[in-house]
Amino acid sequence: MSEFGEHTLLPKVALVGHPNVGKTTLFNALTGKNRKVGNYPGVTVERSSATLRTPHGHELELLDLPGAYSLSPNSPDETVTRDVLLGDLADEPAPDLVICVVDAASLERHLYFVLQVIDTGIPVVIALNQIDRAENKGLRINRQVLADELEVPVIACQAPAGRGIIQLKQTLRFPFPPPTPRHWKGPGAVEKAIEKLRKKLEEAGIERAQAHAIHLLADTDYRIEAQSHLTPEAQVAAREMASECIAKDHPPEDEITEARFLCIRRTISASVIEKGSEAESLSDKIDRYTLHPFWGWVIFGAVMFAVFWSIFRFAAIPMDLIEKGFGAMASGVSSLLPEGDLRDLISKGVIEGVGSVVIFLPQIVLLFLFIGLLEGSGYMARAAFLMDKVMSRAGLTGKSFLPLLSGFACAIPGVMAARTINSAKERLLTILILPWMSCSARLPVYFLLIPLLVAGSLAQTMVMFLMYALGTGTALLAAWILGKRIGRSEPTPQFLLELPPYRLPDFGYVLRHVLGRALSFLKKAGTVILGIVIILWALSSYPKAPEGEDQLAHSVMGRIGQAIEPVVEPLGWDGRMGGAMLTSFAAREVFNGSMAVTFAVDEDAEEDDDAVRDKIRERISTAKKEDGSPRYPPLTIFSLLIFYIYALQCLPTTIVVKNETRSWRWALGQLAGMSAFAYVAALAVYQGGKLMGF
Amino acid sequence: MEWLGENWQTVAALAVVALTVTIFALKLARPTKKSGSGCGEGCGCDAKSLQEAGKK
Repeated sequence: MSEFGEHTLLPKVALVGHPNVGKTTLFNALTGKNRKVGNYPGVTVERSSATLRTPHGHELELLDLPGAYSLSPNSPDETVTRDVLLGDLADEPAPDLVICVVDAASLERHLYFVLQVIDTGIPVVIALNQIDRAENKGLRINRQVLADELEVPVIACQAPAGRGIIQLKQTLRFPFPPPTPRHWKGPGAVEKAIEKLRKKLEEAGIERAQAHAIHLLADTDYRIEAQSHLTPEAQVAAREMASECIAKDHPPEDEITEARFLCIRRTISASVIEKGSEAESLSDKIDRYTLHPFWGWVIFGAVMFAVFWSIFRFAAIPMDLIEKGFGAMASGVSSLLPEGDLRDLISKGVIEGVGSVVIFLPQIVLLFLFIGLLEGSGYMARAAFLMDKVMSRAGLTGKSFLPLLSGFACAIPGVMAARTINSAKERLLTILILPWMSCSARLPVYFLLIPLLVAGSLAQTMVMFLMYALGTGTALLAAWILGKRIGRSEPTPQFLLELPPYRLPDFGYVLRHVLGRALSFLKKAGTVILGIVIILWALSSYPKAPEGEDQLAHSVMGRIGQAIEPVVEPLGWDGRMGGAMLTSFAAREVFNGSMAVTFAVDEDAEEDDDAVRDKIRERISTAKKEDGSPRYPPLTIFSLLIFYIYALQCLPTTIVVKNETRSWRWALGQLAGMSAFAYVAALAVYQGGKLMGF
Repeated sequence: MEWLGENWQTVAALAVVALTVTIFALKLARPTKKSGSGCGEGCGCDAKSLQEAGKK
């Protein structure tokens, strides 16, 4: 049975179960690894494993397989799970033991998958997770009877609370239990077909002949589609056996499914007692409102609005502190050093440039804190459910919600999370529109520019909301348009979603996650952005202008700005804004640094102790054209904001899109298309606004 | 700093700029280690931990 894994030479235990059943939480509890725990399906995308030590001191490799509803796959990740369990993957020997995680509160729905796993011939242990929820629901599960019925160990768990973890580890002792015989029996014709096919597969030298024989007969697609590890003769034999069964009016798929359901009904009636199952749980009561066709949307809008409002409202105090800190640093440098280039570099380049980005840390921390709390409380799964209807109008399903939601943090994990989407067309559409979700790199730019448009946290929240709504709305519209042009039309894919119960978020996990985001942001500010602002300062400060001439206009940056000005002028921008926009193709946040550096160089040197953010805003709002009119009227700021919503200014995203779509055509097409769209949209806003008299 | 004359600040600032450009150039020239996560692990996503777990 055991080759004990070519990867690690350790016995391999696989964790399997429906998506969102708590597999990843259990994985973390068993291994001590801190892994992302989402409340919506499909969080496990890649192969992830860790070493686990049993109470007996044995080391095991624990493999967290992608969530699957069935071993008759409906998506690429379910295919991986099936192939690993059947031992069909070339570099991944079948596990030596499988821990099947099931939701105790929905046992009946999970047992079909358990029976499929048992049929693979690998020893199985059932982890009866969320047992607390089942108890609250009035379900009493007799674990001993369940274990006797299925002939597998059954351990009750409550992974987030660490309940049942030690008992689960105890079951992983050596030697592992023998494989469990299958518990269902089909009609004679089907049983004969399984036996005959098993023998043929054994003769053909195919490993795990019994498991393959059952699966070949139970799954039409598996029988028809080419399988690299099965000989064509074996598949031909399977098709013949299936035809024989059909001729005897016993289609093997239907008969095997029916036999398994019969077994499930028997097992459930013997092991589960329902008392008061009619009683509505608290989650059900809350869901009556949060999933209501009208109130659900009202609540969704209110929650999102409250999040953005809180960000603007509560971030003000820490932002002021950071601002004062940077102001004090700049003053300190000015008082320590005499006037000169080094003082300019440190105070106007490094401190203002980096400070103009770091200042927005509190807002970013708050945003991720709220997202983490909503995710941990179970509300995000409800949001996905609500969004499914909207997405279906755009040719997508709620399955795209998770990748699109991830895109609000960073497009890259979002693009990667699109692997969970079973329809190739929907996956491509999701990847193509994803960069229009406003990622966290855009936030510093929004936070800098929005107060230039409107005053007061309520109005600023409204504009921020509009930025997100515009990006998301246009993305869905683009999906609808592109969906009619890309690929062949497909039936609307099914969206299966298990709604977890509402619960208190794991505050420790949420805080660790937020801390990770904050550190990443600071790391980027202290490395890439620091380097870029130093170079930008040099480009804006050299060559030195002769006495009495404008330094910025004379500098390299000024000349680049002048060169680009004819292109950006129709958008209402000048060369300084155009130059700052160009530099933000390296990283969007650099826009703030560029504006800080170029405006600082452009002004006299007596304002070092002013607050960084206010200083940039003041310089933008007070800049005048030669005729005395404002250089950057609100329409220009709005045109700039529109450009930042739509432009794909992130090279790593383009590379990941190329890797995921395996095509430079899509990746470069997306880059060119989004840049062109951003330009045209900003142009339309500015020119249209002017025509309307703004 | 008298030996550098009045321009010592310019020399120091240009040295910082040159060092920054050199670091960027070296980073660009260095053969990139293939990172399956693709994001350079700077965005705060979980790609790195997933990657490391996958290698074990």
